[in-house]
Amino acid sequence: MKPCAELASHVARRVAVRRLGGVHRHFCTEAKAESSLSLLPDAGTLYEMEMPVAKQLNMRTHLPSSLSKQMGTLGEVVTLVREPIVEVASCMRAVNKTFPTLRLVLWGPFGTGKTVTLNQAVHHAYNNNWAIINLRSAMELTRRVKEIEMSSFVSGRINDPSNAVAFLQNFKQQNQHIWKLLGELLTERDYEWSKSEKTLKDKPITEIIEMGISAPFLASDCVGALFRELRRHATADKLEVLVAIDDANSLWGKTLVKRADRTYAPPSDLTLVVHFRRMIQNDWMNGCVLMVADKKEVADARDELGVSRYTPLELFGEEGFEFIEPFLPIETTNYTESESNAIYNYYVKKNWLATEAARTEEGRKQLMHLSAFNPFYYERLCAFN
Amino acid sequence: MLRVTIARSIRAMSSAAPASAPDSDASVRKIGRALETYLKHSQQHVAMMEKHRAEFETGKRHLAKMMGLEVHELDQEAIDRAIQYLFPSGLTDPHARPVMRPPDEILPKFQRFTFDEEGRPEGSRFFTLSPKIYGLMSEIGVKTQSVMKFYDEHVGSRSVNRKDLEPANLSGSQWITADKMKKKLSEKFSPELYAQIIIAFEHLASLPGSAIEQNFLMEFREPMTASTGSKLFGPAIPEVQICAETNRRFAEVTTHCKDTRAVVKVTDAGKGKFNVDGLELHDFRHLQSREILLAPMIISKTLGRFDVFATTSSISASLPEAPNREPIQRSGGMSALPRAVRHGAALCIAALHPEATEPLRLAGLLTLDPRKKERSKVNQPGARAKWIWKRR
Repeated sequence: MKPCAELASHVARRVAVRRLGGVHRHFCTEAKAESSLSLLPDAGTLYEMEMPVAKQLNMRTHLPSSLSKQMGTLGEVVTLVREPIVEVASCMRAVNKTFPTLRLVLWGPFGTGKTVTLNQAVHHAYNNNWAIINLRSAMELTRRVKEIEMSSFVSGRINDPSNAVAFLQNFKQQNQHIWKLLGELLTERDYEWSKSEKTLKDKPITEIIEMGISAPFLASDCVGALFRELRRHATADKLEVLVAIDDANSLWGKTLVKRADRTYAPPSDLTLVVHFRRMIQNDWMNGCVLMVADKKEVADARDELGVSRYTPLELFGEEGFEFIEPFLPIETTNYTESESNAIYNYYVKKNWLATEAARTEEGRKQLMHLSAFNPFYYERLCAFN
Repeated sequence: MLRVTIARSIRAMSSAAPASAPDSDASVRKIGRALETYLKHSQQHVAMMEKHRAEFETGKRHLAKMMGLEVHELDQEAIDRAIQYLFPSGLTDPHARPVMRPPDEILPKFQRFTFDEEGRPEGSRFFTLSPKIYGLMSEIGVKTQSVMKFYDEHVGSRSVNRKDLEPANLSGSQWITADKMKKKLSEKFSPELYAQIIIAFEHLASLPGSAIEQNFLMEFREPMTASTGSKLFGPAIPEVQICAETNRRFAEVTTHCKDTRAVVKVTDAGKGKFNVDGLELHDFRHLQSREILLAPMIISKTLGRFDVFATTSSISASLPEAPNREPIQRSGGMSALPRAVRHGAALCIAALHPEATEPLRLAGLLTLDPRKKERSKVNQPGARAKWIWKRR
């Protein structure tokens, strides 16, 4: 399994590098020229996200549940700067109005920090006043659909009002830092949502969002219009956009939405899925699409012993892989010894590791090895002790 | 005349052909009673072995027919497999299970005396009635002499190792009992003789310089039962080997837990990496599994020092199965598979890092867990469970 995964990653990386050659070459010069992007701390250091910011970015729901609980207990969000976020940040630095959107895929074994890296990237985008399109989990669009409505805009499409409203509300909350800027961006054309509701040309695009939130049956179409306007304005260099989609491979997975004839609808029939796929396409400029390939789409949750694959090709499938190519794969890995020591020292400092045995040298080693250097297991083990 | 007759009859006996009926020569009657009994027993033994050999050959042909094989295909390995299939046995001790082997291998041996051309017994100790024990005693005497001489010649000189001039190191062991000595020499002797032998041994062992006869002395000693050298239940601690390519020390052992057989190889001077059937430590999702796998390293305080490479297989899948049934592919679960690997890893660590042997033994990690799933019974829902009784 392992060699296969490595090979796939190498191939994917080489392909991506070839196709993104131009971008890669410009990385260094861009990084020097563009000083407007705030820099991340060095890899291996801990950095804190201020609580009000974490609240605005809705970290409590977006972070993995165990980390979100730890955030509540310790009263702060402190994460480790690791290789993947450094790489993501350097890619974000390369984004500009002349290049098509960069597509990055975070992949790696369970619990190695894919979601945490994604949220760090969201915070990085916040620090640089980017627009943030953040989806907590693409799986929610395909598997957790509470109510459905048939689309009046395109026949055969299925709208998902509750998820659409939830997304718009989240978008509004996460983009409060540039809300004024968004208010200055104007719509391109008239949008006729229904017979009575309309958004005229040259109105602020925030009106679209307000419209969607206030009228759930229009929300799905509003998401599409919002994305369209954002793409247009980003290409016109009005703003930069970060599209961060967790479990993005679920956009090509299976759904639990039933059609009238009681068959399961393919994901391409879901309006929100279509809108998000459209956002992933790289036919617009000045944006960065960050996706997470997670095994929860394909793995059997009841199989406690099986080990499923986690490489992008296996998870996105043929169709999805074709769609997102070319992309830059970024692998998340287990801790190195120095990284786990950094986390250990943080926990000791916060008195989170309280027992005598855990604070000894032997305890440190045991925690490290019993967690198998896996960040998720390490956190669980330290919370247990 | 008497001597010639004995010689003739003995020559006839020692040949491979079955012994012919004794000569009706009148001189035979003059042979001593003891020798007569010996000759009778010898002939009986030869006849019995012939019979058993013939029976074994017939049995082999029958077995080949039952298993649908040609006789020439049925080698000893095939016989063992067939017996295991036809007479499945749940007995733990391998010696208690049914076997079918050539009679020469399993039947008790007949003690033959050796005679020279003239019919006289070889070696003058024959007439002591206990030739072996007296031979041993004289050997001890000779060795005692040579040890004393060796010491006298080399004491104070630098030509020999200083350790060779010390008494033999016999700590942790004791002299073997009279019964074991009798078995070892295959000869009966009196308790007085045994006491004399022990006195002679003690004297030899107490001499300075007897270290050069250490190996000879240890042949007649056994480890004390309560000491650490006592036999482990299950596989023994393996030998340390050295990898020719990487020049790293490693040890390898095969063990099992429940239905999982594990071949475990532990390499010294590693990074603490695990490879169990291609899975790494972080692929074991449950803390219990990881705890079990790391237990030997935690107890021996060698976390991050040894690399473990293990492959596992299902024992029941490897047992002979009826030809029309496919063996079921099973694998150990989240506890049994790590436990099998843990036992193997603990044994290897005891070999590579001998200081850890005692802590590992006290933690019970060097002992095999022989428990197996009990077979379910016919007409019952399980091994012990019964159907609920219902009147009708």
